[in-house]
Amino acid sequence: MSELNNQNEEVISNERFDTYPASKRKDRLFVIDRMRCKGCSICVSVCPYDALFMSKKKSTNGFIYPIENGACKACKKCLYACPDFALSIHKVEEVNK
Amino acid sequence: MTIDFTKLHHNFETSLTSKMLPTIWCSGCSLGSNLQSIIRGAKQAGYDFDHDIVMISGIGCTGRASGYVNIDGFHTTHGRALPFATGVKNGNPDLEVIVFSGDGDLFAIGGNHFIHTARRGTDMTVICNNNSTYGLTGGQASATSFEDTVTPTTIGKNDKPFNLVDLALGAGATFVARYTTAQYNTLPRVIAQAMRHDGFAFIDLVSGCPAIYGKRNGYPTGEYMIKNFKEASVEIDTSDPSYLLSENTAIEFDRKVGYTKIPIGIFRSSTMEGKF
Repeated sequence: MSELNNQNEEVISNERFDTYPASKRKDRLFVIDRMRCKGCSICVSVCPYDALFMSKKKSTNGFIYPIENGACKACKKCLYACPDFALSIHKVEEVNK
Repeated sequence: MTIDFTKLHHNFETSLTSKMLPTIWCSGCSLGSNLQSIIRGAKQAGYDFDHDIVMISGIGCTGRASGYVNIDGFHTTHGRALPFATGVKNGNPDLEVIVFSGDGDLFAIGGNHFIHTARRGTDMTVICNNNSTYGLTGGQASATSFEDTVTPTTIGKNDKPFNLVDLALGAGATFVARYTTAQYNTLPRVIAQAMRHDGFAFIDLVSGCPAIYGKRNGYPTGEYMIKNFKEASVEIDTSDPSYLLSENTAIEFDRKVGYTKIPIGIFRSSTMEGKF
């Protein structure tokens, strides 16, 4: 179980977003907006691939936030369940600089 | 790989007012995903957010929703969302009017307006965020608080709650459905169907208030609440005519474990002639 709970090492972050490459071909980007997340962990409970777990650290807003472990398939179930508009899925070519 | 962080907005960001976010709603509140389901439903039904839709809400936590969504709207006085909506519909019959309000607003102080708007068959979509409490003011008992539950204003035990589906059917609504917040895939489709419906459409959207009502009454976190909704939801069997009896449409609730039975589905869907 401890192996599953490791953060995906391909994470790219700035002061607001955590982005993880997702799906089989790594052509999607799973984005967590730490400024909006309120730490309810509904995303962890709805994820069918056990790809998410909650952080131990708190964000600048004082809430824990989800971390991805590399199993995300970009199915969008957590995006639809998130009550705080904090999760999103993007195509990599659309957000590449 | 270099990422342009300015493009990482939410997938429905164009439908939201970004400067108002994050929302004031508590952690685990289902209002945010309900609002997202309404946005997805309106997109699915093919409405132009700038010209076709107006969203009206009353007072309460749910009343805030009209401010977070990028649709023209009114945040009206307490209980009077439906009279405002009737006025908007009469003023411009081409608009699709959505009323998104709470159970306290629509069925306690605004109960009279609800039954008469349903009776007249005004063409609008009413979505009731039914969380069984007055969340904004501290969790007082509302018209849909369940029996034997505890609230700050409960003396002894609570009275019998309203069965909103039964009430809407009796008042003459022509589209009546009930879903919970956890049906993320079905709910936008049903909302789109209700918006396209010509007549008074009512959706009893069962959602929870884990931070205030739930912590006293069996579902303390949002995570537990979503699991509870999925387990307790029972799809109605419309082939059997007894599904409209009030004992088959009532929600059952146990104070120790949360919801035990929620009959979900579309209870009535018919068109009304000669109205608007």
